[in-house]
Amino acid sequence: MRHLLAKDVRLVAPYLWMVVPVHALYSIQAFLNPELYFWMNLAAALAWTVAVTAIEWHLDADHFVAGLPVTRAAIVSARYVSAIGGLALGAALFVLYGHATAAVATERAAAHWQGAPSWATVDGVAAFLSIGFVAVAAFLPFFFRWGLPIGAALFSASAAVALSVGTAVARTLSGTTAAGEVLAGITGSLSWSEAVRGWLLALSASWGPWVAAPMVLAGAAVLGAASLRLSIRFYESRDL
Amino acid sequence: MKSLLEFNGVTKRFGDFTLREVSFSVPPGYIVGLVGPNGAGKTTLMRLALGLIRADGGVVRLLGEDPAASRAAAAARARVGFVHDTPACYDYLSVERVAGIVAPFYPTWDSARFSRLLAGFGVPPKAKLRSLSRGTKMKFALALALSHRAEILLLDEPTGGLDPVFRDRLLDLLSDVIGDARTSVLFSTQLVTDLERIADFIVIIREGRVMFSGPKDDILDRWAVVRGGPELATELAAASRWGVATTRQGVEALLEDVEEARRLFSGKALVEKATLEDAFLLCREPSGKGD
Repeated sequence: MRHLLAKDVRLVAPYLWMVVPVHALYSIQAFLNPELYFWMNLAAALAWTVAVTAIEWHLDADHFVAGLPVTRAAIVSARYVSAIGGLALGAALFVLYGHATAAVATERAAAHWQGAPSWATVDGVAAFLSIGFVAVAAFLPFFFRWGLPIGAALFSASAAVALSVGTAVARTLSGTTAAGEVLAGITGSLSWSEAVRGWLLALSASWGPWVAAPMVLAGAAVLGAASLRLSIRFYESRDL
Repeated sequence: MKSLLEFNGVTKRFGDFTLREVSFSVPPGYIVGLVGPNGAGKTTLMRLALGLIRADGGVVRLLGEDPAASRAAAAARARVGFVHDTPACYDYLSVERVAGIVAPFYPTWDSARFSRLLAGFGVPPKAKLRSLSRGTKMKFALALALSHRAEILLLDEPTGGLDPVFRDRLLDLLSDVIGDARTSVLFSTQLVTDLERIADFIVIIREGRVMFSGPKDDILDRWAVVRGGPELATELAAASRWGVATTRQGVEALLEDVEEARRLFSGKALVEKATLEDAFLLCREPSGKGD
């Protein structure tokens, strides 16, 4: 897997410089719309996570890589590791530019500031990584089963259906159960980033950070392992 | 003699195309030429050999392993050199950078040999792949395949896009490669002239079915092509397992025994020793009678 990861780094190396200006441009959003700042950075981070996937798909290199002396399981695992690496890079830049923007902001600009620096906190980054990780873990099995264009389309459609149904169910349940009220509060705001951050903060408040953090990490590990296993199964049975 | 690559009753279906009960093997120290028209199944066989696709039935063994299986098959692929029919990949990177990506996967990678091959083939190491012609990309792919001392080379139409001078040189190179008596080559092509020069065994494939598999010399020494008037169609059809092809001049058919062909048709038709070209053109389903 080491060689596969080295390959991924070499493949994206010519484009890596783009990361810096792209996230810098997004930091402008910190003055205008903190929510958008969060989502644009997350979108960029997700783009880095699928960069190698997209490059290899575009160049029709799948069969070349699978012809190398590596197992399909190793190819899939390496793709997960590089995707998580891309997400971590995006999160680091999200925090870095959040702080940098706060440091250089004038008093006048800060007056219009609606909270971008508040994202550059532990809970803000946790929300960033949580949403990004769920997106990666949900997307990659689609990719390994159907390839990039069809997989991305099916993933987008499935995500839209899941969010819509989830919102509808929550609103239907609203007022009828206590859980429904909570769900309706989250989904009704349509601010998923705030909702996830709020949920993480609530978890931390209930259990304490030293219990909540391992719980979240354990949940991520279970989700990641299930997603990885599914992807390996799909990719091993796919004709290239 | 244990085969390095073996297909035994292999079937694979892709939409309208079906590979049907394909059986042949690649023994160590020989060049096996896989020849067939477009869409015959050559690339499908190469992909089956590399484990890129799974057979629906039958058995594929690459260096003793099922290439579509797991870890052992991956280890076996370290002893395989391959060239795909479309050699371009990572075309925004330079030749040496792509080599730098590929080399660590092969424990037996020989950098000095790779550099020598690049220089010998005239491939500029600093050039980006997208700036190279198809022929030069193919040369680069061949240099990659030949630089880790593979025991078997799987070359899918490697002469496609190559100029005649380099094609000639490549054929010499492949002859040298098998000189150690342990390396083998499976070489697919549509150019029968390539095989005439270097192949030891020939596999003729057509519409997913192996029409012939055996030593090249069997064809060149023993087979005959019989050409005559249309009145011989029925008689030729009875004598040939491949059926009869209709030409402007009359009919022609392939017979597996030149002496028998002479005995049956001398004086009535032109009987000549078959060439590989004849075998390629006339080895077909008997249902092709009257084509």
